[in-house]
Amino acid sequence: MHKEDNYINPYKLSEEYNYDVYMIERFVEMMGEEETSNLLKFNETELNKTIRLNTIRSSFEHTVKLLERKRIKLEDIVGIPEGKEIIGSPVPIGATPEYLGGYYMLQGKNSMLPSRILAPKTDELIGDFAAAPGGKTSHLAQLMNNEGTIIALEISSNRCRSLKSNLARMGVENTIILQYDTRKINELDLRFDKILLDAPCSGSGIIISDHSRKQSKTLSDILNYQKYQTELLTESIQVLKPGGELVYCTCSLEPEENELVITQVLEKFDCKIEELKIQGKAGLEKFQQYNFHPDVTKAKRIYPHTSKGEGFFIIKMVKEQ
Amino acid sequence: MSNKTVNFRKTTKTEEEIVRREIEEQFGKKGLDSLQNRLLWMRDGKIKEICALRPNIAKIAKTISHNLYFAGIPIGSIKNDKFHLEIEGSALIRLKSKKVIHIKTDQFLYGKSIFTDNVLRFDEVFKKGDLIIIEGRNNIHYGVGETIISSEELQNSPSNTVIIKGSKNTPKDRGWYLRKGN
Repeated sequence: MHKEDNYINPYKLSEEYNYDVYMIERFVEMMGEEETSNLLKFNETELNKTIRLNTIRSSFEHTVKLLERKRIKLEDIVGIPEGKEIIGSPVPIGATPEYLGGYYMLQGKNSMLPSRILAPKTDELIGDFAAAPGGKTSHLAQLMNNEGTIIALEISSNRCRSLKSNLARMGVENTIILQYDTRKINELDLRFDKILLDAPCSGSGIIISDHSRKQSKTLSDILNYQKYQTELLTESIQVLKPGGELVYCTCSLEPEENELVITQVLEKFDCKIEELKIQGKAGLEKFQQYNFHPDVTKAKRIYPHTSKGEGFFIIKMVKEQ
Repeated sequence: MSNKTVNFRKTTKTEEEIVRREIEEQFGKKGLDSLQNRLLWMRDGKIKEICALRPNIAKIAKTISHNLYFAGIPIGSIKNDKFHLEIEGSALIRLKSKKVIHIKTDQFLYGKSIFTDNVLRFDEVFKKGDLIIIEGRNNIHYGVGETIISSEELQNSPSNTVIIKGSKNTPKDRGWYLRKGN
């Protein structure tokens, strides 16, 4: 692809789209020139809003009927029965009586995948670490029919408040919120059947909804996230029951925050990686100076421009018996 | 980071009686049935919040209560030895109780008052000073309010008579989630 006429010049693109140059260079290295160009163009568009219908409050059919009466146009999301894309709405979708009643949650379509992949059961103890604002937590509760138990961890007091508010609005009863540092979870005498770790990240997968991210993070920030994420995942695996399952995800596209974190943890723990049956590219085998664990290719990289949604990295790990 | 001023604990016998008495007085035995298979706990801080926990949740909550921010569903708060029913408490009671007034305006969701003219119907008679569950069109739960006039007076009042006073600063209507929730 290094033909003179279509060669991507990172400096030119960084000027054209207002990105830090290092980001463009990394995207090219990660996904090639053509895909980078498509990603940058896609990030300038606007995503349709998506909602998750909440069966804790109302059936799919009833909620859809109520929204259609308001002339809100909905479309199905393939593979996610509870997800709907808003094609058009004459009313603000985040302030309808149905929204306030918890009949649905505004949630990105790809962020509905991790809870589905974890597949929690009604009698299980589930950990949701870094849980606020509660989109995935309430999704887990919905998939569990509001039974079983979810322990939702959130370190920030303000974010705990919004988590509590969202869970109450959605009618979630099976959740305990702890204002707690996940890195100390081992101090509590809890062992989980399954854990969802949606780790705090640099957010390079959601530039489409936060253009400030084009310039707000440095490589050093990414490495700081990587260190924190590795600590979170290390602690999480320790409180997982043998045979327990863990889904790790971020809305970052940076290999250090994804494949490298998993590689480092796999060096310490005996875990199996499950192949994910969802659309997306395989996890990277290598990036710059890093050679990743071969099983990391079973992870999925979901790129915004190919999925028409927010970018995600998702991997499912099973702790050996 | 730790929440030292807040203590999450099981309610005392007295606190539990305060809650149960108020619910029974306002919504009868059916209202109390909504608490079946749920235990009452308190988030004891600046506000004494009451929440309803299922036994399996309470069992785990006991073991980690010193780190707990919240659990179960918030149903109201205790102030000056009186229980104040809030949004989710009234939604829970609604599952058993028909003490409901149906309205045709969304203004209540903005913390505004409900007028005679806004009423579509009510399912049970009510007295002045009663608590009543409020629903909008399509039976969507809006919250709870205290009546200023009785159902009998409502039928003979001018259209601009306030029936239920709105409040922007207390969690009585679902609009509170937008105003204060986050």
